[in-house]
Amino acid sequence: MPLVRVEYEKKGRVAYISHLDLIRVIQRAVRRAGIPVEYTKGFNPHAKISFGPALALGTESCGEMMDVQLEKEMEVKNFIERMNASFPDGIRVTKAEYIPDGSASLTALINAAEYTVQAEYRQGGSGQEGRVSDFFNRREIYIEKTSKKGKKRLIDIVPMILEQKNIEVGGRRLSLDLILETGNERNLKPADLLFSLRAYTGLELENVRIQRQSLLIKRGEKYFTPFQVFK
Amino acid sequence: MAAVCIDRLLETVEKPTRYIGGEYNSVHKGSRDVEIRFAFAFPDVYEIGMSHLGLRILYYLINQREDTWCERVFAPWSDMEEIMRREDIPLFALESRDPVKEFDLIGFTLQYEMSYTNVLNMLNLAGIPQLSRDRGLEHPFVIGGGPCAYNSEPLADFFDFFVLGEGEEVIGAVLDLYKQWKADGKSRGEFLEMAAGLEGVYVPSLYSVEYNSNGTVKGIAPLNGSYPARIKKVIIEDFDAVYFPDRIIVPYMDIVHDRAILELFRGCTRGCRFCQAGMVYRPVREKKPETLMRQAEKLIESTGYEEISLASLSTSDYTQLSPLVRDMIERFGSQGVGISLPSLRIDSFSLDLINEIQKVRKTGLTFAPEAGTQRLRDVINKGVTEEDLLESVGNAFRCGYSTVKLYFMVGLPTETIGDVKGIKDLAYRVIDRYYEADKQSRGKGLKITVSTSCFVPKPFTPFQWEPQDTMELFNKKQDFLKQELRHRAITYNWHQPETSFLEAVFARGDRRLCKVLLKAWGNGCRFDGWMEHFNFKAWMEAFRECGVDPDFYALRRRDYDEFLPWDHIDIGVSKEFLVSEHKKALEGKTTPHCRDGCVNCGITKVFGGGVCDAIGQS
Repeated sequence: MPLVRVEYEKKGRVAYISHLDLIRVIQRAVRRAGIPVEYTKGFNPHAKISFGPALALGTESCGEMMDVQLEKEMEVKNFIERMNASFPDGIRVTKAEYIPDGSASLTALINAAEYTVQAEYRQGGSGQEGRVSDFFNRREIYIEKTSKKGKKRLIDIVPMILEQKNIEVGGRRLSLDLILETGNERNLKPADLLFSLRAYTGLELENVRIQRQSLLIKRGEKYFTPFQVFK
Repeated sequence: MAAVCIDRLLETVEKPTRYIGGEYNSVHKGSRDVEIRFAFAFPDVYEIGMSHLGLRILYYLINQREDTWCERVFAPWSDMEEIMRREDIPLFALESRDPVKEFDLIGFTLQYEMSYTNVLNMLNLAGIPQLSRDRGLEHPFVIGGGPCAYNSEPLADFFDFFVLGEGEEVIGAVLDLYKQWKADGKSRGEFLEMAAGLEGVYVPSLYSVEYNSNGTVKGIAPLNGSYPARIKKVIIEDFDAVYFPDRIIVPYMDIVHDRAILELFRGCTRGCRFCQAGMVYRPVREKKPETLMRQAEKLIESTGYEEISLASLSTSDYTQLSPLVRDMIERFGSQGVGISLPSLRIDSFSLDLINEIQKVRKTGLTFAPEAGTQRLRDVINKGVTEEDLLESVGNAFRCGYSTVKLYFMVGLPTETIGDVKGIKDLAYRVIDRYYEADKQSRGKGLKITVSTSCFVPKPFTPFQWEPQDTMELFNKKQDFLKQELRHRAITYNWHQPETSFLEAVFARGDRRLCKVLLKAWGNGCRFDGWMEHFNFKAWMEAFRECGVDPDFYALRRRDYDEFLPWDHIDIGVSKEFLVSEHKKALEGKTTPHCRDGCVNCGITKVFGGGVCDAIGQS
């Protein structure tokens, strides 16, 4: 059965659609697009689509991923055009490729994500640069996590910040480019990181804009895209 | 117009998708490319309003006009309201996010009385004066439509005008007139005077009310002879040819009715005496099966929905239901698109249909006997006999069903405690039928849900003269059922009588209730249909502060010769017919189904003989 791996954007208004709602939106878009997709059997047949790790509500993304199971092969260009014609504004397929039979699922593969953060400090003044770089140089940063059962525990997020690609502090603007651990096993949300940044530095942030740039697969010290690695 | 900015705020509300707009098939136009901005307002939350068929139709009908952009606006939930008030964000339309205050017209659809405080709250959030007399040229015109517009007196002070009848027919004329008025540069009052000349338009400020010394209304009359003394509703004569959208907005969130809806027919041939919809939506007009099939194909193609609902007031009365359903299954079954049949009267014929639709899954079946005894079912003209019901239930059990819901009303006219006990007896007879069904074929785990609601007498029905039961009596009857319905297979749901009491007040209210409504809103009342927001104390406080006795409206028996606050509205069904139906009800006499012979309700006298499909086919 042909399997297409799809990268898509989620930008603008649709950033406020939850993961669960997004699944329904995409299911319906696929039906409208008339794509020969494989349907599950049972009472409520739905298209066989599996998604990458969920995106936090309000976060935009340039690189969300899904795998779509087709009934029969179709031209990739045609697939992209038809999908894009039936998506609501803000969702757009940017890349699609057939992947080998027996490829591992996105959730099994993806363990990292690159995020950019743009924000402004509420109050001006000096010393912000030092406070921010001190924060990112800490050996440990604890945040409180509440489990599904309501149990609270402290976890250290420093090992979950995989790469600090760029940290810019200038005037009243803060700009970050980070690779964070992402996935079912261990997951660091940029919002949680910013929360502890505020807590540790005392800096109040506003006009915060978070974008997920890409979903990645870390193997050893190297990063791959889900179009490069299938097992 | 400057659009509001809500992006950051959306992260803090419970369901942001209620407010983001831009859903697939929503209509976006350039504000500079149109002459008229129209806001279609539904005074409840997004997921309720988006399920409403009228909105779906009128939204696209209005947007077909190149000169007009119709957008949607819903009542923000309390969390969003709090943020909007704190951040000074005015009520905005979903598509453009422009403040509705700057629109030309706002059309509220009035579906139930308990949404009235939301109307006031939305106007206030928009920054539009709530009282129509306080509005100036800079404000939009506020229009009301929908079933509650037929007795709009309790809202008379807040609306510039009401549209009576089928919006598809009236709205175009209103917009044309508005454009002409705007071009002529006339006053606000002049527009209302012109609008009063349109068929189906009621401008309450051009009518005055006189009262009798006993507090009843003496009469409602136009201020001068150029306005009609009686305002006649407007109907679509050729319903098969009426505009129906070939697409609908596909929401992001799971709304209440998240599916494609087709309207098989308008009106109802049953004549249940408690039912307002059955009277005000007359005459019966059907669409042809080929028309419906064509509309279904377009909707599925343009939405990607996985379910089509065949809607109308009583779906099984559609003359060609069986072939239509079979054709639809044949056409859509392979695409994984299901068919659903709401408001179905369950008899052996429809059970076959249901089995065809649900090849495997045996979900629950719903029956609405409404009353527990045959005597009372005859009073309300619910043409269902106990034997019909039990036979259908028995068949359903033999087909593998095991979950049955039974809907009743308490407080129907002439009801005795014996009739209330009849509800229990009927429920237990349903249980007997389950055990009589063959063990191999019946489903496992019998579950019977009995629900009672409190009867609300409605205007334009044969029961419009009847008093409602007191809240004490409602409680007594339902407490009795709580005691009696003690079987492990039965779940009993009852209804708090307080909301039903307020519904009864406003359903048959007059203009003196406007100040109560305003006061209740000031006391914090909104979302009165939602238990988590309903505040009965605040309502009673409002009545006291205004010196208005709610019992006068809810609990009083009216005489036939009393002028009713809706007597200047002509729905096409004659008052004589309603009187005769009321008298027959008290005698326990039934009136046959319209298709078994015309019952002379009056509709053909007003709209002409060819208008009612029931006559053509009987």
